[in-house]
Amino acid sequence: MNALRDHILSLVVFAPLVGALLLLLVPALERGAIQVIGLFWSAIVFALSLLLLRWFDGASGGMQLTEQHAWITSIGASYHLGVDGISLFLLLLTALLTPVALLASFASVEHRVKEFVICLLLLESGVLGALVALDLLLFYLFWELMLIPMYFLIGVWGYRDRVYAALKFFVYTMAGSLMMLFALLYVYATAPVAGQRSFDLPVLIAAVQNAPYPIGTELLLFGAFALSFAIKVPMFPLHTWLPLAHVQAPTAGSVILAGVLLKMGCYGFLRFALPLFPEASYWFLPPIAVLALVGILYGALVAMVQKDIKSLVAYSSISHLGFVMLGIAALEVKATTGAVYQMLSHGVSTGALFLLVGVLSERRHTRLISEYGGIAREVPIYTAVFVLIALSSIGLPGLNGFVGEFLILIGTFGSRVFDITALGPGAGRWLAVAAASGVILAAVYLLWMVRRVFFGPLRNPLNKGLRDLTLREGCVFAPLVILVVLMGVAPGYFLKRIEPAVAAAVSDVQQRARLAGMGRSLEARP
Amino acid sequence: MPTMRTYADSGLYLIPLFPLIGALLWGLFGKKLGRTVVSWLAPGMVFLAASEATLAVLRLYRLGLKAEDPTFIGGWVGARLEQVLYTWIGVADLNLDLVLRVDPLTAVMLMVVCWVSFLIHVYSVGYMAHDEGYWRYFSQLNLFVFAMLVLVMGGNLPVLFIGWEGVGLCSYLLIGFWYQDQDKAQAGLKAFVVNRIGDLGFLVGMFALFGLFGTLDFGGLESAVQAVADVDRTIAGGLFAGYTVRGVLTFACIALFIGACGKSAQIPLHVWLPDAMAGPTPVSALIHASTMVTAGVYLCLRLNFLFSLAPTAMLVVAVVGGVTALFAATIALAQNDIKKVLAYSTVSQLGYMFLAVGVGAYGAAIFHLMTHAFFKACLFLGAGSVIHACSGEQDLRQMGGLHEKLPITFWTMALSTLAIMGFPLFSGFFSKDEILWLAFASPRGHWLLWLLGLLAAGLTAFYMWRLMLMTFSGETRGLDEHTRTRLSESPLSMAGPLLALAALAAVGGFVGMPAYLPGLSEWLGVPFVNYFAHWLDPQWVTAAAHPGASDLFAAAGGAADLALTAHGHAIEGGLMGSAVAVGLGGALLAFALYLRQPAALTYRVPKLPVVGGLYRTLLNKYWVDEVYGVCPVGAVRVLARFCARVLDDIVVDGLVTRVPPFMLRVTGSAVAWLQNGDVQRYLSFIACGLAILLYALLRGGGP
Repeated sequence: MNALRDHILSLVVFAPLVGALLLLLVPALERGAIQVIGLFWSAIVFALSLLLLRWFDGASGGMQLTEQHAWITSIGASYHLGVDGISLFLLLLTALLTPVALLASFASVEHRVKEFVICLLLLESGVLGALVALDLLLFYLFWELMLIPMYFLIGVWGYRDRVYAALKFFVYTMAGSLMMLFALLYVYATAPVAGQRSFDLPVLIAAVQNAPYPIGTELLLFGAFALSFAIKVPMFPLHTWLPLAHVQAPTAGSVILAGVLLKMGCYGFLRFALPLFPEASYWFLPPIAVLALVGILYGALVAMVQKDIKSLVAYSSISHLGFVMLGIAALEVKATTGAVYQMLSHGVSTGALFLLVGVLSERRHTRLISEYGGIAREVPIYTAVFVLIALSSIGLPGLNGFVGEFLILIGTFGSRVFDITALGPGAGRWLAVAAASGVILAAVYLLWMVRRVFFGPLRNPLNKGLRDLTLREGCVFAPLVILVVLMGVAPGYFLKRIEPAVAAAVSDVQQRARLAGMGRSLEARP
Repeated sequence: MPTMRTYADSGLYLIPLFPLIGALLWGLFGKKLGRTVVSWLAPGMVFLAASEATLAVLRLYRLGLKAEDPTFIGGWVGARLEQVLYTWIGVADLNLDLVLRVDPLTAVMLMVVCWVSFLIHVYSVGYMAHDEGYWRYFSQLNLFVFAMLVLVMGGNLPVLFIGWEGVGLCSYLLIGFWYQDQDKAQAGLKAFVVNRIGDLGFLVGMFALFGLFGTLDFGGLESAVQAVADVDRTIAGGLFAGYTVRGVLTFACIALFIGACGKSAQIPLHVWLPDAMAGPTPVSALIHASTMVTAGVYLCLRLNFLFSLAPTAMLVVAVVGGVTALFAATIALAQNDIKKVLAYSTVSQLGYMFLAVGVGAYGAAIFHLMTHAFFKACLFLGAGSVIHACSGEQDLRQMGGLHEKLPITFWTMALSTLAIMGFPLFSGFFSKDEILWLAFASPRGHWLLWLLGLLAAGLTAFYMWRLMLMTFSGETRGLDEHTRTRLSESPLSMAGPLLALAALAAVGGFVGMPAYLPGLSEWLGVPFVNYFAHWLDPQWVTAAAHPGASDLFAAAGGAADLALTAHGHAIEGGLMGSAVAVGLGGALLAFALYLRQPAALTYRVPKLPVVGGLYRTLLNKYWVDEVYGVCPVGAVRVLARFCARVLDDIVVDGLVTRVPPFMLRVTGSAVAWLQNGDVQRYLSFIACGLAILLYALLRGGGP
């Protein structure tokens, strides 16, 4: 048991990769077998990841279950993994969404099934690895590993404009990644580490803590990291690849993309950009907060007039992730804990929404709102699930969406981070109030869509006799529906484990920014 | 006087539990369980909840009496029952327990909500007997009761907010219950969205209160308020440095009141309630008349100790309430849809309650909330019975002459109409009278506020009797032969609740008889006590004891005592008389105009000059919906289109997809120009380079 415990992170990260390799041995024609093997394998990975909950110490804010081995000793890169409250549930979410997405694709993906399953498993490994890597080089490796399978998922199994969408996705993300790579190498080459140069995150953080960069350099470095992460989130105005990618991606691709891939951007801010460059963070937080606010309102407004259900959901993602970024930018324990919670809850709700849209488009091969209307009578169970998920996405208290939004808003309202910036004292207040108006818009675009798709008379004869959820689809949605309710009714279980890590990270950034001089005027204020 | 003591009570969770179980059962298995089972058990679940609630109130009563004097008159000091279930959200300094609490105010709400819900569930069994979605209906109706109970029992603002949004959800679902009708589905959507606008205020109010006091628990807020000695002193540090406590409280109270405006359909967020009549009539009676829409009033009363310290916020509440009361009453004059008349009447009556809150007449507000629940639920159920009998016809102009065919409906509605118009000794008389009197006489009252209420009272009497006469008197005007011959009284399941509610509407007001009724206590020979007010008095202790609210409460007795000492009985009697006179005047006018030819007027009036224009204005509800259609609805739609089609497609996407390739091309061609294969150009580069190098070496001496 101890051996398992010591290597549990490696096991979880590499198990999907091993699964992908194993699948290479199965003949491509055995579609059914491939699907079942993929499903079971990823389900086992999920089961393994649940072991983390057993061994994870919720009271501690530090890295846990760490593993460190020599890797490329000549350049100081090591194989260093660890998990904390920020990454723990993202890890579990990834491990859960992969089998769910696979199961949902049983009927819809008909060609190149083997490659499809392999891609999904590779993607899972990439995401899981990036979430636990504590070595910059290792992180970068996994970061890029996420990119390639996603590129193929969109480009091969997507819809009509899939090639353009895949290319756009790739170019955008790649451009961001390169910026990060430069910054990363610069830090590696210049950080005042005693002895050999190192890619190790804790070592580098300690080094820049002792001898911070001049503020100009730090700003550039933060900017490079931030650009890369902001594209991934995506933040306004770098978001235009996302709706396209979502609309063109197959259902499973959208689920993973919205469910976990986007979160890697938010996660990157918390794990790398803020702790490495605390002083520059303080300079960048106000513009990030404003852009996040713009994203919330802008995403919601644009979602309102979409004709395609899937692109509506995609724009709603931009709005929801605006909340996450606002919570991070507020740099306040409640707000940032809320941001992490919102990442999870958005993964569940939006993942489920994409799955639901997938069900509809499998049946009717169209996602245009105008093609539907009044289908509630034909598909009552599907309607009930859809409305429930929509309500969770709107942030109805008692369901998952409310908890994160509430924490983010109440934390931002009280955040003093912006007091010394150009936004002026009390900026947290108006940011929170303005962001809260996003909850009105969310109700408008989602429920208006629900009204047009499900209610009213059944006008389109093609929708007559539309099939309700099958047993397999029921199995797809059951875990998500349970999570939607559970995370709304008993968020304490999650929050208790998230908070210590967030509190540690937040106070660390605040303290070091203060040491670096930013905080002098902060403290001078009453 | 000390604030009420709190006692742990492990049984409170049972009250909301039963309807929740019901909602889940009918929602998941309703179709399999069958009509009979659901019809019996759905009201049954509410009955269990009501019984549990009644037991809890009895426990509260016992605990709230002083040990040395266990009588209600002498020894009632109030108490709180509390059950902490678990920590819902706990992060950093924010600690939100899922906590249920019952105090005298909650007790009143519990009794009203539970028992009125039960009666309406019973009524629904008859009303929805032939609807194929009965199981869905009862699931949602049970869910509503659950949410409403969470709302009234929640011990902190966010838990109250769970219920608040929960009832909003059920309202949305039930308004659009017959979802295949586009308009009905749209009405549900409208209700949800308008309520969301109010919710923004609710959220902001919560944030401000948390920023000020660091807690959202009602008990915590109460002690925090008590700890503030001087509300007008500037706050030295923290989030609100530079403001006064009173200033922040005023902001928070107004924000919360915006939330209340949404839920309770006050100007300018009243537009959803009339449309909400698209739902089944029992839903209108339960959700959109007697319980959910009063949640806004309840919220203000729950936070009375905050409002009391914010006179400006209270003034806003009073003015909005008073204006809404009159405004909605005028619209009700001209409506021809029986449910629309009642809907605007509800908006108007809710205005009365806010008027009461705004002048500090908290007891009067909740008293009117209760009596209104009785008579308005009865009126709606009566209207439902009429509509049921008329095969779905809702137009008053088509009805008439129904009193013989529907005697029970007629008499119960007539009693309720007497109650709502404030006919002496009927329930509405006592509650409305108390509000009008305090609107005039309370330290925060004003004769203009009183006048608004008085005018609305006259209009109320008029439009209600117009409705009654158009429905029941004269000859049946519209309705096809088939319906006419089959006109008959509703089944017992529907008539029973009508009778019960009518009885309450008639005599329910006696629990709150004013201490002063001309001649009564002399005749009885004993000083008279207002039992209802006495029950609630402990609720206002915190506010009354606070120096910051001293203008409102001279002593712990509340506004009533203060007003009494200032103005005396003669004024109270005079006001009472004038209210009754105005009510009777309105009623008589209605009789004069509508008794003979109930519908003729509605056809003749529009053709008159001036009056006709006025009539059309009222008929079209002052065109508020049309204005909102332009702004904000139209404006937001244009903005959204602009964002999507121009900003997103052209500007943002254009910039990021065009500019980098353009830059690449520029650098590309620049580099290409450098190495185009022309040897002479290469040589000239080399020469230039050499020259620069040479210059550098000569000048600086080199590295």
